[in-house]
Amino acid sequence: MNKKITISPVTRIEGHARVTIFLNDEGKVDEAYLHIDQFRGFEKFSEGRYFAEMPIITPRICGICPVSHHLASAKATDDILGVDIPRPAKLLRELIHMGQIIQSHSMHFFELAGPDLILGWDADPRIRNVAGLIQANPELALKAVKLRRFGQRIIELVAGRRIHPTFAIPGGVNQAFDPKSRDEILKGIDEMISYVEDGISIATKYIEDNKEVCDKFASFPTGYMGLVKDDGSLELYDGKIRFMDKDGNVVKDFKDKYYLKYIGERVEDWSYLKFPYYKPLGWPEGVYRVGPLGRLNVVDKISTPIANEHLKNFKKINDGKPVEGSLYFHYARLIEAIYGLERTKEILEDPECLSKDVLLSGKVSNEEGIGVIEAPRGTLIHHYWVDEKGTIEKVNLIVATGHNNWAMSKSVENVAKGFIDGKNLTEGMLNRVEGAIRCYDPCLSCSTHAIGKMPLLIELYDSNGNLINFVKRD
Amino acid sequence: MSKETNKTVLVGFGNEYRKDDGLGIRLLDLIDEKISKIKIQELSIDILDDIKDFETVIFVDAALEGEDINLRKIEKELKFSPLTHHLSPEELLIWAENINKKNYEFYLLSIRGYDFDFGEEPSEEGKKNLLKAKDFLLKFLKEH
Repeated sequence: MNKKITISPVTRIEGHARVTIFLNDEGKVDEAYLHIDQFRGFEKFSEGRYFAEMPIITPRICGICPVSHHLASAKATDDILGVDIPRPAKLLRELIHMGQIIQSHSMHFFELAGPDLILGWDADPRIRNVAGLIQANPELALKAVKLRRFGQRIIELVAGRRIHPTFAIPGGVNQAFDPKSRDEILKGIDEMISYVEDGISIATKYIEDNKEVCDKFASFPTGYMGLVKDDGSLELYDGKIRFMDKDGNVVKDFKDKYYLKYIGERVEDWSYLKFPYYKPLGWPEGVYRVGPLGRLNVVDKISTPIANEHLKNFKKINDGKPVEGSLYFHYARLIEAIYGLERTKEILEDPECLSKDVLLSGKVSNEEGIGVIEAPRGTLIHHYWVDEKGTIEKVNLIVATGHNNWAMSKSVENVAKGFIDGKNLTEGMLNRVEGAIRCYDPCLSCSTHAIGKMPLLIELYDSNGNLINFVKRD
Repeated sequence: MSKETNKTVLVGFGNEYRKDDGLGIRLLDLIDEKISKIKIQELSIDILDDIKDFETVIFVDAALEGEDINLRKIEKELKFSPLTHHLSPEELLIWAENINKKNYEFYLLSIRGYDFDFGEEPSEEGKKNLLKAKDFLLKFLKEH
């Protein structure tokens, strides 16, 4: 009889998830799964609302990346109006998007990935955390805080508030930008780039010292997906969707409005969250990854100089073929943070960012609207169906964590098989399993965070079903 | 009020679109006293700047279990949220004291919720606890 280890739930904040690991009689891992107990209530909750409310309602899906939902939603409502919004409005929307990329990516690296990479996977969990990081390197911790603040400050200065902005509306944005705010942001960019470069030095040193681990940890072939510009360079706000196969061939570039033709969603009975895949390749050949790793694999280049130099090094990791190791997500995330800062500078130096031409009026012209952006964690799709008055009849949301659902589960299995010893379970083994999920920076979009659930438990049962060991972290 | 209200800030967090999950935020709307208030959905280091000029921070959040209302003083605790950008008040206290270079008194007022489904109206039981929490908080601010 197999033994079963359950990690439940791995977090209570951005959703609920459990990890179940099945052991055989020798204490080796047979199978492992990540179960995401998420339900799609927000889509139902939105039905009957007026479409123009959606950019305000949908950021409540997530307290971590509300700007992404705000912008994807606004793009879907533009589509319902049938308008191509003024360029200055696009620039300002992209600007708050860059603010979110900077704060989210930086914080993930320094707060969540940092303890593993800097203090070690097997370090005492009492110090392998942000507090340990503060003690080990207070200057670095302060830089992390400043980067987070900087990204949030961009959102605040452009959109008027940093949490749940109401800035993007159907047809554009509701306020123009002022020169004083522009100058404040511009003043800080170079210093922030130097902070991210410090993070890149940490990441590349780790890779250099642990190349074999990086190449093997949660490493497996998949397809990759992300937005690109017409010239194949990295794009986070607009652009076409690119799908790349596991061998690195660009299979298709398609407009976001055709996503249903190319993306299917498979249902498995062990997870509430669906498993998207690339339809033309079918299941399971069509599984893919999104987010920083997916994006940097699909792009040919990055339009900003510093980030592009880092991309060239990233592409060398697997001799131009797709980079498969999930730990490389962390490196890719920092390269994108550099891009976010450089792109912020470009936008601010564009005179049109101060234009007052930021809004087009219109009326409900289309029965459907689709908005796609690259959220920090990956491709985010909002699709609304409305009646002739603009009342929402149906909503379909595919969030980044959904696209990565199969890959996260595969990563858990891969790492569990490589590191779990059922006869001698240690906290460090558990941490590596968590770390595999952490690479994807998942956001399970449950959005509740009430007090009262235990964040982590691994239970080890013997072949008779008796609990013989457990690891618990409150 | 004996507690110096200009040195105390109330931080309500939660999601008002998830029924009782928004109890922490709704309580702030019920407090008329001249006291600083901050409303957020998740607890993160973004708040460090907002609290830098205060000495006492009272967090208010919904609870999935436990008593109707509960107040506890937060002690620094070395714990790690394995996957999330959200911080616990215990972790935040460590950040706050290290980054803002001062000592704080942190409290957490928990309000028991019952229904965390999508919706804008709290449950009836949640509303009752909200009123209890209001009375409790006003008394606490006066006596401490």
